[in-house]
Amino acid sequence: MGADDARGFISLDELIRPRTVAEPDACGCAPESADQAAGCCAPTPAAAFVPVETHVKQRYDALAVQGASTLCCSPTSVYTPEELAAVPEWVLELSSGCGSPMNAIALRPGQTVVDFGCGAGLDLLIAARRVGETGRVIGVDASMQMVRTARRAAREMGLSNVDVRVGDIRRPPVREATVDVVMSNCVLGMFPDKQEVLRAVAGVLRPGGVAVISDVVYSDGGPPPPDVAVGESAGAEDFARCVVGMTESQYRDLVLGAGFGRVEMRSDGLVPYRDGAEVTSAMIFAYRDDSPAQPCC
Amino acid sequence: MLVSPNTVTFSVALPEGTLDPAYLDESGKVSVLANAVSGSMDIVTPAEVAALERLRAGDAVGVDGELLTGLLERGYVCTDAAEEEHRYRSIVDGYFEAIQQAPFQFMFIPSYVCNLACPYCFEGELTTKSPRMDEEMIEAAFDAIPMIQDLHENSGPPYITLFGGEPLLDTAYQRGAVEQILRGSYDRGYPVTAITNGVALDTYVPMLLRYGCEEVQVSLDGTPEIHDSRRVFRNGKPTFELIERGIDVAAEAGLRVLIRVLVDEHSVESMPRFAEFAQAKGWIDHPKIRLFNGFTKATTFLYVTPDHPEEKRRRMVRGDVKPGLQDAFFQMLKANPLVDRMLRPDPARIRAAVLEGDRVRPNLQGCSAGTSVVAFDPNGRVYGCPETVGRPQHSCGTFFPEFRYAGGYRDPWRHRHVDTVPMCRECNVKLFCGGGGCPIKAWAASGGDFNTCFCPKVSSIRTRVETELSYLLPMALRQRRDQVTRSEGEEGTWEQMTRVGSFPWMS
Repeated sequence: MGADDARGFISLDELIRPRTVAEPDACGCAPESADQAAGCCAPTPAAAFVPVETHVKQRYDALAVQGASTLCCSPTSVYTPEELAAVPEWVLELSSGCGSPMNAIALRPGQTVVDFGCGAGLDLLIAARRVGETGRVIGVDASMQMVRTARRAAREMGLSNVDVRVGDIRRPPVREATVDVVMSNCVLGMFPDKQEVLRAVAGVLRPGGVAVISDVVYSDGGPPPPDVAVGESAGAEDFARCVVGMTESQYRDLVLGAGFGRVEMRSDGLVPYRDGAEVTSAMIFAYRDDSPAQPCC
Repeated sequence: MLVSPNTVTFSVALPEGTLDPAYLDESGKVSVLANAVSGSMDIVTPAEVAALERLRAGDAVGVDGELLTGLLERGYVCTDAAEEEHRYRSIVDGYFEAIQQAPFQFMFIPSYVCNLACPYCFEGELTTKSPRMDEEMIEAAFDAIPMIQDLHENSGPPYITLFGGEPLLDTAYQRGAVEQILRGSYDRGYPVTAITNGVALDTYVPMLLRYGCEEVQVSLDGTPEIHDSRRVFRNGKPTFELIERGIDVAAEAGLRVLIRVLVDEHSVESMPRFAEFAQAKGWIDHPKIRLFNGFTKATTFLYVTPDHPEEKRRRMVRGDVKPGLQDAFFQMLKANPLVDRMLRPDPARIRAAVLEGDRVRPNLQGCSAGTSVVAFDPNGRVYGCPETVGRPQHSCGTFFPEFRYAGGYRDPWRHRHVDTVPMCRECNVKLFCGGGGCPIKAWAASGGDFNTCFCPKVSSIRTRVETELSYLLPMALRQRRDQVTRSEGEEGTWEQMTRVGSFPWMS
């Protein structure tokens, strides 16, 4: 097959389509060629292995194309009308946060802020106004469609201090130790290996920097019921709905194990989740070292 | 007792008197056993080779017990075929796991334009007129990086290489584009390197340093006389002095400079004079400069398309094979130790094993194209091999205006190695050939199938290893004699031998 053969091209959606993985047959061999396939290794239907991250990306790419999110909180319940003024309607429609890290921290003019999993860019655009022209905000999102949406919004709002990048937040396209504040609104919960993401968050922060993360965690009153999806056993749907599958205490330990010096957590109150468990939208403040907390709210 | 399928017997010509005549076979050559799975390489006698061949034929009767033990310890024979296969598979699997974690190189071509007119340039006519990468296209290339890594299941660190044409042209457009690429890389924490002809390198050094570029590569064709007879500006003006100045300014400023010294049949004899020049310049021992050799080559294979008739395809691919040059190169090296010190040539990748006591390492990857290199060109196209850029039949997709990736073309290339190529599977030099040789040549010769191999490579790989062994072995044996003489009585022969090289067991 030639590279220019149209049938050979696979468009962007290869990224979000289930990838096929040849499973070992009863004989233990994975078929490699037609010759083999004729023998003991007859072709088996390819099993679909979909990494959780791919499923999540698929969901958010689809949302960006659709132009509206039905997930989570409405931005009007989180931000004031003044803050939302001039933010394009489609950005509000696509907002899928579970908290308001922007309201939990006082950004200062001139700061560098990164939004891990910025989506359509609502928090990013509001942060851009707060840090002013001398500051800089960088959004990172794995969904190309979401990145395009956020870029378009920044252009329409005339914000020149916004830089949106396609990237995997486990390996963020951000220089190490250059950022004052990392915010992440209901994103870490979508990754099976949260400590990997938290280590990446710690990596981009300057000494003294702080990460403000909102996530949906189980109440600390007791472990989640055994039939509730937890950690690695969580289904893709749980990840896409951002339920982390950890209690507050477990989350705190995870943050400290990822290279942060100190962690604070605030809870917005409990709400019932499926299977009788209770979850809360928690705000996690993770400090790069033991420096005093930044003034907030 | 079975002979390992990966045990190879190389037949090496050595200068008279290098070894005891008992090691010479009827043709006056010496046999060297090697096994890249066990990591061993040993000089053996003709009788031992004959015993090994008897074992290979299934006849263990009469083979000396002590010899059998030695062969077993060094991994040339085994007792369990399944275990041996498992050891081999572990190496191949380990290689593919390593590839997934390996750094991934992304080459940015701001334009194909080059100000030089080297007669052997593989980009040829592309370098006279070219579109340019604009800001949006450069941004799109950065966007494509995580998507390509995702498709390749690679989680290694990306690094950026400025490539061309000539990336460091001294024009306003090029400076703007290069600065945007450097800034984008710096902001993302991606290391940057540049492959440049070097004529304007000195003027770019401040910008390269500002954005943390650590390394540049330039090319010289040998002495100023040879170089300026062919690596010239389009108007024929010479370039050697400009490049020399660029190297000095860059190294002085702290950039690492790789100097690729191009060798061909016209320049090979001038290498000793060039080595003296490099020595006088202080380049050979400079901590920031490294010189290495490359061979100029015919690149007609890049123009092959699958619809060419088979004979034409094969003729166009064959044009690149020049076995005589390698012989001439090693002949020149034998008489000129300074050139060896300057270039430390190692085409068969066995130098460390022979001279430094390293194990023989399987060479599963001849080049990183296909697995961990991608080039973005100013037409918005993606290429897997930097030598194929600008040839649309080798494009893997586009990154601008839309991202499209040709999985049907790319995946067989990406997964290709000696086990996916039927004619390589049974070949016992397959661990010395770099994964079945150049995939692009195989694709071109076969008419579009990556899971093939362009051979005469089997014979040429064996010849390549034997040629390098005949060059390195006298050096290793000389080193060992010197070492033994110097430290006589201080340590045992075994320790001396293992320290000197990878030939602890010379029967």
